Amino acid sequence: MIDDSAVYHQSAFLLQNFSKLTVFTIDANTSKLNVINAYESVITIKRYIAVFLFGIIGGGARYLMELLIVAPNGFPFSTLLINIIGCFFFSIMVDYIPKRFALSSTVATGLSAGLIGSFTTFSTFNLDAIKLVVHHQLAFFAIYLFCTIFGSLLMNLTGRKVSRRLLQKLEVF
Amino acid sequence: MLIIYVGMASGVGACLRLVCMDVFSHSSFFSKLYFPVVTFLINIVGSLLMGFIFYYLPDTTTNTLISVGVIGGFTTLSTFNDEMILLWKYHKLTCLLYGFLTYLVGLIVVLVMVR
Repeated sequence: MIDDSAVYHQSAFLLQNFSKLTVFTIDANTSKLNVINAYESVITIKRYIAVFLFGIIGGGARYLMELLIVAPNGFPFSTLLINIIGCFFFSIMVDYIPKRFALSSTVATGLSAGLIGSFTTFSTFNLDAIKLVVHHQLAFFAIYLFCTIFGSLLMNLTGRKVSRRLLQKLEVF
Repeated sequence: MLIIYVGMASGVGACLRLVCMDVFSHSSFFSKLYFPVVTFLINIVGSLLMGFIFYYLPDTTTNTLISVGVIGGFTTLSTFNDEMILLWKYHKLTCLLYGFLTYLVGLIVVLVMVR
């Protein structure tokens, strides 16, 4: 059975945090207090909107770069550049930007999973690589694969290092 | 104008990716595994669809929107690399397996679609 005072304290605590959006129900069989957290679902919807809006920018930027950068010899330079730049900025968006500008987790998710997540692409990378194999440009294929695998890992690590440096500088001043 | 449409399609793709990640993070089985199954599946399925659309469907604007837009936004290399580096700190073998499998299966899946 439920101790009334405990329920009161708990609900008062929850109400302080979640204001009007929390719904309480008590399960008749187990007499357990269920909290239907409407607040959380509002956050979820906000996250989706943020990811969608930032995704528009990221995807548009990717398409623009693919249209602008065309290598004359068929080497998929645009996709390589997109992925390498994206991996660098993913670390910055995860480690540096939310701490520097005190962003909410919604906007932070939008920046990392939305903006950079839709900017970088794995499917186009695979398609470009297989196109090189089909056109018998095996040297290009090897270079492309090597550059993407190690370049993106290296850029991710560089991004982590840079954001750590920038945060340290921030603490000094 | 097409850039804006492709961007919006990418936004839809990114939302689909978030749906997949949310669904898998709620599952008690997959959240216990060290291997990031969600990102792996997202990338493989995206690559498969990309190869299918490029080699089997005609080159129309709608197909560009779906392939470059939705699927390009759905698959992600940045999260994949970030997960690899996180895994490297604790599970080096899983990290190597994850990287190797993602690149290998991704390439094979597109290669299967070539005709």
